[in-house]
Amino acid sequence: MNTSEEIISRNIAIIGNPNSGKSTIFNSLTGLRQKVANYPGVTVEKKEGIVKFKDGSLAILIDLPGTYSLTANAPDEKIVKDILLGRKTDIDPFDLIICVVDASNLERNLYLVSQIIDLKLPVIMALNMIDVAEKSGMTINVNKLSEELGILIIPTVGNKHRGIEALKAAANRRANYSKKARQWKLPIVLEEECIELKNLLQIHSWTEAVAFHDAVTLLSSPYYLEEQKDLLPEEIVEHVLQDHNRLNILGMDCQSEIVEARYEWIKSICGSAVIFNRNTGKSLSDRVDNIMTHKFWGFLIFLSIMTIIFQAIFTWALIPMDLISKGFDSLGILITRILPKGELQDLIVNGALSGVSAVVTFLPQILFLFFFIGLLEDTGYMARAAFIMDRLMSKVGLHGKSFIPMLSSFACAIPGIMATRTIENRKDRLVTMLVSPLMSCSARLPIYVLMIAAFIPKKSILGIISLPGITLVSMYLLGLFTALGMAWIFKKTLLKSDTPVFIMELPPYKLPSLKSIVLQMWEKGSLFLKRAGTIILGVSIILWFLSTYPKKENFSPSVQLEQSFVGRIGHFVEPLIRPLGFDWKIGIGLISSMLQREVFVSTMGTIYNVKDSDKGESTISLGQHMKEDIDPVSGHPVFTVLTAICLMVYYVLAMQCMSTIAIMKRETNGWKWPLFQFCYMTALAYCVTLIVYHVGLFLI
Amino acid sequence: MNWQELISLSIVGMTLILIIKSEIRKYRLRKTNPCGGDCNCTALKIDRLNPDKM
Repeated sequence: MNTSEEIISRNIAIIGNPNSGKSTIFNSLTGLRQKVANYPGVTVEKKEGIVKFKDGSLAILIDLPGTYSLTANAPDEKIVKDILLGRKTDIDPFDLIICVVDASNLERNLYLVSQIIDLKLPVIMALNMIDVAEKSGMTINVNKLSEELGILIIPTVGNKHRGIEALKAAANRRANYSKKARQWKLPIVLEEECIELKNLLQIHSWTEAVAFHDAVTLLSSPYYLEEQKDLLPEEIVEHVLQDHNRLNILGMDCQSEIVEARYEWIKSICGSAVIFNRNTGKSLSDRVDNIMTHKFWGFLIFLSIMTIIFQAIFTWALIPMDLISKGFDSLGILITRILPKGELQDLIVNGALSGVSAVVTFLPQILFLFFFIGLLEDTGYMARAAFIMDRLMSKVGLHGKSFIPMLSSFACAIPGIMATRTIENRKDRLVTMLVSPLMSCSARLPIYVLMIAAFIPKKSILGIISLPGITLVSMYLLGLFTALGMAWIFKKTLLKSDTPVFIMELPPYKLPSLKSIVLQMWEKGSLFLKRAGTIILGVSIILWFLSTYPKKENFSPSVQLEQSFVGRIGHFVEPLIRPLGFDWKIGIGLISSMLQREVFVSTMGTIYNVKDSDKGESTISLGQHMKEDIDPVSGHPVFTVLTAICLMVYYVLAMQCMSTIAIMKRETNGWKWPLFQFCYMTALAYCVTLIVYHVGLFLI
Repeated sequence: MNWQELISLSIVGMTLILIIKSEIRKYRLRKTNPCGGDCNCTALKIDRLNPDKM
C-alpha cells in the first residue's frame, strides 16, 4: 500500500440508488470482496478499494452509501450529501463520480443523477442492469440519453462483468463535467425566489452550484432550515423564513413543485431516449410477488420457509455434528492414553477439550443457518420478508426499514444495531436498537439445539413437521414477537413519535450466487471457530480451575465440584434463580455466558465432565449427562422438558452479550441507553421465565 | 505440587493474562475506531445519535 500511495493520483466515488448494483460494480472495478444483498441500505460504512487502469495508474475508489436523493435525512444518506457538497473536511474532493443507474428503473434513478449534474460535479453514468431493462421491454438509446444529460454514459451488466473495462477506460479520462445548463424549470414564482436566494448565498461565499442546491433545499424543506439554522448567516435565515411565508400565502407546496419539475424533465428525456415495447402482461417477478407478498398467503409462505429452514438445520446438520463429536471423543481418549492421570490430563480432556468441543459441535448448524440466510438474501426474498413484516411493524409504530436491522440481528445484534443508521427518525432508530438484540442471534443457536436435542421428544406433527423443528422456530418467533411488542410499548411511552410511511423497492428475483453464499458461510464459520479457539478455550480453562480448586482430598468429583470456587458462586446465586427452576450449575452457566451466550454450552460441557470424571464415560454426550443429573436434595432430575424450555426462553429474552452493550454505548453516545437495555431485557427474561415455569408446573 | 499440577496452573495463569490483555485491547479499539467496533476497520465517522438531545 505504501509503495502504491505515491502513484495514486485520483480520488473516485461511486454513488447510486440502493439496489442499483453499485456494490457489484465496485467489486468488479476493485476486485475487493464485499457483501452484496438485495435489500436497501446494506452499504452503511465507507468502503474503499484501488482501481488499476490499463496505463498502470491507480485511483482510490470510494463506495458511498446508497441513496435515492441528496435531500434524504437518514444518517448514511446525509453523509453522501455532505461529502458531495464538500462539507466533510476529512474527505478529499473527488476527481470523478461514477453514478450507477438501474436501467430498469431509469426515471427514479435519474433523479439523483440530475441532482449531481446540478452540483456541477465531474460525473459519468454507469447504465447498469441493461439486460434486465431489455428483458422488460425497454430499448434505451444510450447516445441520445447521453446527449440529453450532457454526460458520458457506459452501459454495464455488473454481475456479468459486461461494460466494466469500458467504464474503467472512461473513468481514466478527465473532464467529465456536464456541459449543459440546467434544463428543468420551476414555476416562475419559485424560480425567482430560488435565484434570489442563490445569489444571496453566493454573496456569502457559497459556490454557484452549492448555492443553487442549498437554495432549492432550503425552500423545499423546513427540516433542512432547522438543521442548518446555526450554520447560516442571520440574513439568510430571515430571507428563507420570509420566502416560506410568501409561498405559503400563495398556496405553493415547494417540495412537491421541485420534485415534480425534476420528474417532468426526466420524463421528457426518457420519452425521447427510451422506447417501451412492454407487453401489457405482468412480469414473472410481479406474478410471483402477487402470492409472495399477499396479506395472508405471503405471511403463510414466510412462516413455512422459516419452518423448513429450521427443520433442515436440525436434520441435515446431525450427521456432520455427530462426526465432529466423535472426533473430539477420539482425541480425548488418545490424550488419556498418552498422558498419565493427573491435573494436566484433567485440564486438557475435561476442561479445554470438553468446553471447546461442546461449542464446535454446532459449527454445521451455524453454516446451514448462514447458507439459508445467504440464499434468501441473494434470491431477493429478504426484501419480500421485510415487505411482509412492514404490515406488522406499522402496527407497532415502526416501518419496514426497522425490520432490516432486525433481520441482520438474526445473525448478530452488532451489525443489526449498526444497520439502524439507515433510519431517519432518531426515536425510531433508538426503538429499533433497543429491540434488535431480542432477535435470536447465531450465538443462541447452540443453546437451543443442546436443549432441544436432549429434552424435546422427537415426535412429528401430521407426519411431516418434527416437534424439535417447531420448538426451534417457536424460539425465533418468540424473540421476533417480543421485539415487536416491546417496540409498541416504547413507541407509546418513552419514545413517542408518529408512525412513518415506508416506501420499499422490491428488486426482481434472481438466481443466487453460490460463490457469495459460500464466502459468507466461510466468514461466519471461521469467526465461530476463532471464538471457539480463543475466548471459549480461555473461559473453559479458567472454568476448569474454578471447578477443580480448592482441592479437597478423598472427596467424590460431585462433592468436589460443589465445594469448588465455581460451586460456591453457583450456590450463592441459586436462591435468585431457583424460582425459575434453575439449579446452581445452571447459575454458573448464566454467569459465565454474560460474556457471550454460547459460553453457556462450553460451561455445561466443562462442569459435567468435571462432575462425572469418576464415571469414565467420556463418550457420553453432554445432553445425556444433563438428562441423568439428579438433584440430591429433591431426588428429581435437574433438567426436565420444562427446565429446558425455561432456559431457552430466558436466553431468547436476556441481554447476555457484552459486545452488544459496548456497541449500544458507542451508537447512543453514553451509558444511559445500554444500561436501560440491559435492565429491561434481564427483567423481562426473568419475569417471562418465571411465568412459563410456574404455568408449566401447574399444567404438568 | 507435582509436575502436572504445576503446568496446569501455569496454563491457567497465562490464559487469565491473555484474556485480560485481549479485553483491554478490544476496549481500546472500540474507543479509537470510528465505527465503534473492535474490528480495526476504517469506517467513516458517522454522526452519532445522542438521545439526550431528543
